[in-house]
Amino acid sequence: MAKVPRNFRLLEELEKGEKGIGDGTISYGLADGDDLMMSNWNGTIIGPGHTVHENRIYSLKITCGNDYPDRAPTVSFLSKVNLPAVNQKTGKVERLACLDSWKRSYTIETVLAELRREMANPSNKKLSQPAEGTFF
Amino acid sequence: MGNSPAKHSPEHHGSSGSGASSSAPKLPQTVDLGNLVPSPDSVYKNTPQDWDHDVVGKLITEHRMAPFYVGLADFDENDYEAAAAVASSVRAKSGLTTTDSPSAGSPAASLSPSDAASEPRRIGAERTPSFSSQHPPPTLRAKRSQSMPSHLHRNQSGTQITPENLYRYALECPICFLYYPANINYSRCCDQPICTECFVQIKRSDATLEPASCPFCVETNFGIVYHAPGSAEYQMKLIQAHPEAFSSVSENNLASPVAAQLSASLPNESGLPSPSSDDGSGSLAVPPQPAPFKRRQSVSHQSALVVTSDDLRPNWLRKQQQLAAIRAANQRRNTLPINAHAAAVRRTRQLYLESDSRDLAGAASAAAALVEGMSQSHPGGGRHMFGGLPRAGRGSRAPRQVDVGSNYLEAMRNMGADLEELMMMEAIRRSLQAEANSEAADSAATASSSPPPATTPVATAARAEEPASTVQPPSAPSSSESVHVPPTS
Amino acid sequence: MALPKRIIKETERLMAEPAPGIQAIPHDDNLRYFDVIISGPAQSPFEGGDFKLELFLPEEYPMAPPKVRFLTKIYHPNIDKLGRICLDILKDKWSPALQIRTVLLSIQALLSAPNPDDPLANDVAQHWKENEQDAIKTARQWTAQYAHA
Repeated sequence: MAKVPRNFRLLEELEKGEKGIGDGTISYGLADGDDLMMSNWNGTIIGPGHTVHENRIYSLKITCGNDYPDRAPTVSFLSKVNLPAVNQKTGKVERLACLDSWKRSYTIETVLAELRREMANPSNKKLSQPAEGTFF
Repeated sequence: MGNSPAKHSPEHHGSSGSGASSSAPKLPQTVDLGNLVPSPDSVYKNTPQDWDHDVVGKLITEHRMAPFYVGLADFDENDYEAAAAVASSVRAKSGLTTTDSPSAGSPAASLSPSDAASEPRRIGAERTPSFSSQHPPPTLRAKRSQSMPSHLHRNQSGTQITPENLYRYALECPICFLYYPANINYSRCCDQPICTECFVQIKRSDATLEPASCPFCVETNFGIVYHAPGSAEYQMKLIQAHPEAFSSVSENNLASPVAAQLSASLPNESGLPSPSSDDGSGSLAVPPQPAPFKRRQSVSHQSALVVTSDDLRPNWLRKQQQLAAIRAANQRRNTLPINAHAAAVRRTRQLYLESDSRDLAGAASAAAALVEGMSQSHPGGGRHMFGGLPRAGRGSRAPRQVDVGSNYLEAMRNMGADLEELMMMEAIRRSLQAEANSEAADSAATASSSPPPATTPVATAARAEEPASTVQPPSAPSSSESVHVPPTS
Repeated sequence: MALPKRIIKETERLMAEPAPGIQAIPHDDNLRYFDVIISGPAQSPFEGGDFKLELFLPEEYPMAPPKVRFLTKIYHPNIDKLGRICLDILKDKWSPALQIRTVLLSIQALLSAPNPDDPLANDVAQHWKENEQDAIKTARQWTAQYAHA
């Protein structure tokens, strides 16, 4: 199969993000619409229901380097959140299966969806959380 | 098989009591040394083969479209050795062997006399000798006499159909750039060659569901006509393309009145460009036509001679209805994801307004940019803060909704669900959702994803006389740099 | 991973006989991915500029159009800030009989014939319609600023 180069891959992701992902509980878009290199992205996760995250909205920053999607993006929470995957000082996502064993077929959506699943994970869904609306 | 459009029948059904049209629809393995299905290493092996295989098999058997041949990557019409080598590999691939003698069970059976009776378009072929078998180039003739004395395919007129004479005048399909036997399909409208593998790929656009357009001249209702080897039309085409090769035929023993008349009008100078000698660089698949011949006139898509793209997908109408239903359901609401996102954004904005913290500014502006990225046609078309939610773009809304629809359809199909029922349920659900979300509608009425579309500027540019030297109307036959000019919308 | 013969032949022909003012070179590690340079057409506001683009032939090519994008900033009503080009033949008017060469020639022609009258939500197009002379001036400035090697 044809190997889609970085920039066209990111354009595809952008267009998908503009259309809206699934039920809207995760979303993402370009941080800077003038950036021809499309490196910096913002993401949003709406906390899953029946967890401590319910009704919370988390903002994230995603950076896609020059070797994306061959290499994983770097992902950080802007909103404070208490999750094992997230460095509690910086907000950086440091332990996430899809980032640790990244595949070329993975996307920004893959990462956000897995983070949201982490929030709903039975071992995480009752973790005490920082005040809503606070930021790293 | 019963799906075959009505216009397929009058010519063929009933007149042929055996072979493909007999009550047991047992199709031959090969027709005119080609296959009824694409080869496993087809150019399009990674593309969905969503055409109706039964219909296509039947059309090929009835000589209404060319069979699937092995496309050659390279072909030099002056290199007879190479052509012969190719021919023998084709023979090997199609399961023919030189020791194989024709019998009722062999592929030769596909060319039974009943085919002739059922093929009125071949009138005139009977008295026409096979040009290439009578005047093969020396090398090829030598090769043939060694390698295939006993295995001769014959059509009803006694014309030998061998890989050698099929590939002798191979020409390049302007879509896949592979070389095919000269009995290729031709577009009904502008008489351009197209191989069967490419033809079956051309279909109605999923987005508009308009009938497929001709890839060469953009005439709507794309269709092809096919002339089997041995038919008068096939031979006329050969003469047109290779006048030099057939000049001796016309002098000596051309029996067909049609062909004789044609070749009498041939110019004496050779070296006229032929489709296969045009290397196609830059040309938009418009092989130069030898000047003395009038191009065949367009044949109506309703003609019984024509096979249209729709004929290969008899169920498109049903699909169209399904998509129309989904589109109608979509139009009754704004898409849910956008509404949900709008709700999320409102909450973020609220957080921002409720807080004086400077720390929030970064996150807030990030969220604002996100909204724009999400919903604006034109990322960065204005990086306002929260006040500046984008206006609805006029351009690309409808196609996008169709996209959503077809993705949805695909998903449902993958789930093996009962489509109609699910569509109904979904329509109802969306309708309820639309009411529930109507409050969010103003902030959600956004989104368009592209800059304004421009129609192809070629015509204008040509008028402006700037790159005019390189830009010509599509059918200018002598152009080496012609550019496709679609109709402006 | 065999490359379809059509792509090989198109590439060979593009390299052997480049179209005037157009250069397209495939990446070594991805022969479906081309670096493109289009020279701004004479008498257009883009004259004198060399515009970098990238072009990718998707798996479905030629049944689906190539994907093409400007990498050089350009002030044009039919090209957005991410370099995306709005041209009918790159979308619904694509035909498999078109080629890389014809697509690039059409984009070159688009530079000569900006089309601000189509549906737009675009500040450049607005500018073009309201004050064409001024818009052309801006386009010239951008050409000088971004499109000179």
